[in-house]
Amino acid sequence: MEDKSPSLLTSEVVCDELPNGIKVLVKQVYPARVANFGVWVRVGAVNETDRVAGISHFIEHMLFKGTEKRPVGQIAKEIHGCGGYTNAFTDYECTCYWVVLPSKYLDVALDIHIDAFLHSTFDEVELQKECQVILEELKMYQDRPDAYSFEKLMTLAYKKHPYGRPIIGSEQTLRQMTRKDLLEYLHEHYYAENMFITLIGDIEPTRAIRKIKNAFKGIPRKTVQRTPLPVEPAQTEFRKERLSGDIARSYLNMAFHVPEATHEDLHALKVLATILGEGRSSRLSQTLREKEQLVDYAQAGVFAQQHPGFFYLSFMLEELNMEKVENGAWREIKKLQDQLVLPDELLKAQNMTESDYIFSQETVEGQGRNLGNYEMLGDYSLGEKLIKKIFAVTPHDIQRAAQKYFTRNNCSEIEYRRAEN
Amino acid sequence: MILIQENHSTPIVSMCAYFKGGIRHENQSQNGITNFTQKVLLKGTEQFNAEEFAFRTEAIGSSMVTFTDKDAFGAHTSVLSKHLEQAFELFLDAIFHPTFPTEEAEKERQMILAEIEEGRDEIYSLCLELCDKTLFKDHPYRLPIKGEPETLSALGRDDLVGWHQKWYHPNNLIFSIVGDVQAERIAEKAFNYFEKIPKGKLPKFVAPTENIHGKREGAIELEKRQLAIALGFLAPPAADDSRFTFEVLNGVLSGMGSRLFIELRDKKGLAYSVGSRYEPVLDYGIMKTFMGTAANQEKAAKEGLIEELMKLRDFDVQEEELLRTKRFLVGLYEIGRQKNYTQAMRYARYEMLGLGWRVANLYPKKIESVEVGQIRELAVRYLDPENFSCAVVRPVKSSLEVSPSKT
Repeated sequence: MEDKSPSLLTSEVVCDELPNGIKVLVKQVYPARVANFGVWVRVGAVNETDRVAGISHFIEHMLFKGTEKRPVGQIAKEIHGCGGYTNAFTDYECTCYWVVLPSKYLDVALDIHIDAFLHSTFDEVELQKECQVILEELKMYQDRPDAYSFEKLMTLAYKKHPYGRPIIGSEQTLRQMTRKDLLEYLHEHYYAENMFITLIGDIEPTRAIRKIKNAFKGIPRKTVQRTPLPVEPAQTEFRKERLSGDIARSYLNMAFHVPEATHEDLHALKVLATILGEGRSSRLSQTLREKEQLVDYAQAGVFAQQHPGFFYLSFMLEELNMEKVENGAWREIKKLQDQLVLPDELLKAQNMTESDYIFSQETVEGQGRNLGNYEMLGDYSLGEKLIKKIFAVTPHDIQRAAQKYFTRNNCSEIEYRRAEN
Repeated sequence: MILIQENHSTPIVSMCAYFKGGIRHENQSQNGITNFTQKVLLKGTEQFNAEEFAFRTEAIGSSMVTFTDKDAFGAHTSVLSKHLEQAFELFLDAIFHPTFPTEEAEKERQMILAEIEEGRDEIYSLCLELCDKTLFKDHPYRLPIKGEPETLSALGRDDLVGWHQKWYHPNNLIFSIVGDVQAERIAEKAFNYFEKIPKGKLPKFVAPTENIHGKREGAIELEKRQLAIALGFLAPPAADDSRFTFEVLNGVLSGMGSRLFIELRDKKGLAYSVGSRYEPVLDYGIMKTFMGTAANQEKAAKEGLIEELMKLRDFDVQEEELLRTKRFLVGLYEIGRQKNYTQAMRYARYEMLGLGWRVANLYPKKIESVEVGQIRELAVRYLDPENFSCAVVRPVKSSLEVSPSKT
């Protein structure tokens, strides 16, 4: 990490805890006149039951849909009026509500968020309308073959663990969701010890923390015994599913189970993903796109969260090249298992990872997202530590990881083919 | 023209090479040539072949991105300042010393053809592209950036080399650098580099006059579950005095606190995606409002969009809403300023438009000076209910019941 840029370092973060147990991470970034404020709730799609699949995301939509004193649309209007914008996202393990706006309007952001958390009305009529909005969102994803086939890949790879269930839910579960369901779920999961706050920007930390303490004191404490999630049994045989539809190009997605984000092997796997499928110079791009001209794109990545995740390969291609691409992917995997990566290729992957991390820190939004995502894994400074560990990865680590995880029995594959008319 | 701004808050440098050109200077028979040329730029320089170039660029943690717009084209890259020396040479060599290998050009042609085909699966961008095609009858703004399969197939290596010779001149370039650099040092380096490249004579261009008469409609049917609709209007061109006022008008309609979002999504539940986009380009500005909705809501969606547009003609925006919108736009500008890349692109664009790079820093003042009555005046002038284009990408009936099947 560059020593001359303290604004990027997590050592500058001031960490505090409110009396009710909400953890607060605040970082002053001088040059920016804007601030990013985020409230992170440790609840997401993994905490749902099959009956209410999609409820975490539904609540995310409803929470900014009107409070006792702010009618529909008022929250976004107020944030606009401050020169900022607000949004939220739901992931498998968390739901995050965030705003970015000029730092001087921090008080407005605090007032709006606490109002939404404590006084949202969940009006019955609004709920029905928002259900339609979410159904449109669902259809939008289904119309995108890359997103659709990736969702199917997760469902194929996870038979027991809830990573196999789409975050957005299904048309059936969404239509059945009641106001009572939403409120019960909200009360079960939205409590102080299950939340933390991130604030990055041109703000003085002590003053900001005082304001946050004052605003969020009303969030209730609760002692909750978390139900352990079902453990995904080790995959013992190759899985493959073929889909077809009226799509323009075809898609091939492959997944290999790997450990959770904090596992030591993840560093080598991250470097492996870069070597295999990040950028034009990656092995899959060079062989399957540039030399053999079999794919439109080839990508690799690691889905790494709190529970065991997966390493994935994604290709867009012409339907008739499906088998050749699959064979080509396995050929490249075998090379990594048989031969050590050369030092310059390893250094390239390490430099790419370092740059990506620093680029992601350029804005207060990016810094907020990084702090929150790593705090979800138990340590907000993990990003910096990971970069150091990435530079410690050796060619032998990469070979070992390739041999350990890239086995046929650990692989799930989705082919989404363009249907013959 | 070289523009440099030091910003040492992060160890990041962004470089942007911005040229006047793009779709505005293409015609039907060679449509797609700018984008095609741009793609092959990265496929080999006098010093490195395509593979070496990709490796060297990524080995310093950078990536070079080319772009083609309606009135401009160029490239940008961001890099950690410790790698700037290498990035500088690689970036400019790709732009000024490409070799356009025949084999690489053929590969890229196939890739672009695949991208065009893939575009059928992106109904929003497909609909917005159809909206341009429907809005303009004569002006090249009607042409798609990537071209059409027939035009691409007719373009050969010589065409790309010729296009490069025609447009890629230092006297057509705005080179902007923002970030962790020493301005004097990088300026000297840039001057030395450009000194060796000959100036060129740029083609003259007279924009065809476009008059919208009546309502124009375009539609595509696809096996999709959603329907996308876009309404297109001519708007003030980029260098027009009223351009910033029109940005405020568009701001009233775009974003989560806007009229379209609150009225059509929040209150009516018609859509997940809804918004408005103003493209201030050189000869004509373009305004498009759009929505993704259910197949059976086409009429409600179109009426809803038109109703919101017409309110801007019929009534003055209230002071409170105007103030809110102005603050929103200025806020977005400030948020964007955090990125060196955004700032580098802004400087270059305003300079290319002839407004001067300083306007990038005057944006808040320009927006803040807009007054209530000016918005309605522009709405009356541009948002004509009898003269606009409507593009729709609708699902064929069968796709509404059938989702992708297992085989």
